[in-house]
Amino acid sequence: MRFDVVVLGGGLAGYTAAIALLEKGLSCALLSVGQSSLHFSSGSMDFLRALPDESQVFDLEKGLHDLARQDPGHPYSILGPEKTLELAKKAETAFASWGLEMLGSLSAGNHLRLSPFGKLLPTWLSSKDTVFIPADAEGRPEWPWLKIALLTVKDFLDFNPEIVAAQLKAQGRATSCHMFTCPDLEILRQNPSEFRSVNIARVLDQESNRPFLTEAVKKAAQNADAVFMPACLGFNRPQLAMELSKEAAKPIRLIPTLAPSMIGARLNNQLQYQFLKNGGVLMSKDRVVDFNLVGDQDDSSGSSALTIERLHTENHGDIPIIAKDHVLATGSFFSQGLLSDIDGVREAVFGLDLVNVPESRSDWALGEFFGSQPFARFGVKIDAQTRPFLKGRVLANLKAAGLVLGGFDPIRQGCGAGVAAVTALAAAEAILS
Amino acid sequence: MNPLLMTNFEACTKCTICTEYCPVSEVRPAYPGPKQSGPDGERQRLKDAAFYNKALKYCSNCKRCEIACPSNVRIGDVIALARKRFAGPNLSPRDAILAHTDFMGTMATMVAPIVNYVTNIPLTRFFLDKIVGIPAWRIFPKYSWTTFRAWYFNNRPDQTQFAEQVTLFHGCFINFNNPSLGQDSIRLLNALGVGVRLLARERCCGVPLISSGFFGHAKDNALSNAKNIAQALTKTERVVCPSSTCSMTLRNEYPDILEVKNDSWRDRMDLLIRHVYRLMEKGRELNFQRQEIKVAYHTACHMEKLGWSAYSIKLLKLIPGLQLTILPSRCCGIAGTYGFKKENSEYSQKIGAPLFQSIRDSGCDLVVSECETCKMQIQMSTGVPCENPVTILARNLV
Repeated sequence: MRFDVVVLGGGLAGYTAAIALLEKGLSCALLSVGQSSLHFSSGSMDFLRALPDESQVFDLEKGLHDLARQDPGHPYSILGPEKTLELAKKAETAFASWGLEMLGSLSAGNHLRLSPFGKLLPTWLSSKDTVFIPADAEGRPEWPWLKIALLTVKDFLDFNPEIVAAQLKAQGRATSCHMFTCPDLEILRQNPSEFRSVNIARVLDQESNRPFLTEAVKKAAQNADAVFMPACLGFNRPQLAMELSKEAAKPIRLIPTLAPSMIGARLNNQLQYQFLKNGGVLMSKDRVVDFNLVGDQDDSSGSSALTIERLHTENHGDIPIIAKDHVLATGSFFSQGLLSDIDGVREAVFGLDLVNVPESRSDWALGEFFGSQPFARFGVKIDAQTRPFLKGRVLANLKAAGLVLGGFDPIRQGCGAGVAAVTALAAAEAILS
Repeated sequence: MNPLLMTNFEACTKCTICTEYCPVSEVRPAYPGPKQSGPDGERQRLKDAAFYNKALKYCSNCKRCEIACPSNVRIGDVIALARKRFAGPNLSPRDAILAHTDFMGTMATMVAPIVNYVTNIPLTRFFLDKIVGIPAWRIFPKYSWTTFRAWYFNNRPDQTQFAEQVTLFHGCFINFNNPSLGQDSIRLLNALGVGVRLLARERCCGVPLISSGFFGHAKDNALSNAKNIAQALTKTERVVCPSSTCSMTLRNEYPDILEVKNDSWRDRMDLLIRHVYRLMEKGRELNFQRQEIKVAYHTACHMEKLGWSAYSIKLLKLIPGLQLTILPSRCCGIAGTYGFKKENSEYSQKIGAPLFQSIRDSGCDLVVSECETCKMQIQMSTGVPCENPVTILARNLV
């Protein structure tokens, strides 16, 4: 089966690259081994939160230049601060045109979002129905509200309003906690292990349950400037929190819950919808099992490039998938884009060259769990055109993007989504040129 | 080897993404959902069979949980295997009628006009609804006066003129209800220079029997079909089937659920449309006449599981004038015989509602799907005709 481009991986990077290519008129297939790690994400997109020297970033342009000095192996530094900035601005425009209603921008710098435990975290873009707190130049919150009501669903275990309230109180906010339920939720609750954000959202999104929701929100809003709710509504109706805000005449905002995350899953669905709308061919639950390279494989000088001629996948068996170009966006260890065992670490599809993997296995991890873990920086090596390498040789018709790349720590540096978006657009640009 | 050990159920991280994509749990809170019914429940059932939950019968076997799972757990298979081990025999006469499609088909085609007439009399429908448990509003497929096999052996065009031959696994629906799809299959393959044979003996693939818990009878069918397929493959290159569900059953359910080995022939048992694509990749040509028609493609659940909708989409685009919309991949709710059972029928329509809406919104003249029961459900629920891609391709041949 022939396509202009085959994208491997259906997460933020894979869909971003694929949609950008489809919009330029290329035919595109996307293979995914299962639903993506977006389902576990807050739904906010981080661009750059901290530098290797642990200093916090709020001015993103300055942050990129500091990063280029401190961390030349970071994908942003490989692309260069100017290029990264240009692509990130392109991503903001692209996301908006794809119907992702996000607040925040590079030019405004990082804003703050609330974690499921009420911690304020600097971030780049947040869905417009989530808690968005502007920050000043030093990263201090500029709270729009003093009195905050926390309204949760009875017996929902993935969000604890008391913990969040304690955090908000430390921020000088006055808080109150409320909960509600409705008959349909009581039925769902009989199965406690499935009483999770998306499943609850599917109940609360139904028109028949709207009166319960409206009543609970209005009650909680009575003595408050804003109502914060766990993100378990608005899955099929992304405008629901905004509609409730109108009814209660107070802002109703969502806080991401522990995984599975409704906002992340919704983001995944919106991207998938755009991909299909633009004529993309989705190959769900398929994986590459074999591939064929052409080029002088024994070239000892290592100067000539190799090209991928065809892929064979689990579902398509003897019928090869042939594309002019390919994007590898398979993610990190969690998404099985990188695999590790007792013998070492490898990139799952092609066995590409990796960066930052120490010789000795004992150097892979630190004893301190929340420390800057070396394994977080493992990943594929790329050049400035996002081309990866195989035994030192460039793969001419393969580009790599997102968390499969090495050289950065998405958790400590708070840059996972930004790297995914920027490298995906860089990969698309490299293919189009 | 215990088939449960092949389902990878220990890899479950309890993330619940499967439940997000389960069409049944979305509308039926009494169903515990794929994670609880599958890998979670399995840990308990391994300790004590008393943990088996009867609500597992609400699983429609659509396999969408398996497609969603990031950890590669075959959740649907875990549930089917649990039903096989613990549910006990199904004593419902209604389920026996619905599940034994080949026996019922053989009986009904002998007196097809009478059956077609009688099953539509309000009094019969009242009886079927109140006593048997098949809802009065559900439209039955019409039975054909002659079976496809009888037509093939009496009237088929000469197939021996073709140097290359394939064997057609026609399935019950073609044989008893829709012989024209079988005829279209022959026309399409003949146009590619391929002659068509049938299996010496073909029984129902077994999927309705699996759904209703008749695992023993399903295995008998599987063993018989496996023997006949292996035999046919000594004479022809491939066995092909137009139906996504029969294909999925022969390829996946035989080894995974029924413990009937198929590794000697699995790669040579193919969906018909995929084989057509393969022949065209090798340089065979088909010429289509122009048809100004708006078509919406529906990815049936088992088509999603096979992962082959790209072939149908690519081939449909070859018809000049055909405008193609790809519908969002969602279950239509019928799930074979599932929606014919009164206790499921309300949920069946609720599951399908978003798909029906997207069909109406598309403004299409025709829906295309490889699944025969999706066809019944879509036609009944939207009034828009639904055909197998084989039919559209064959009828537009120059």
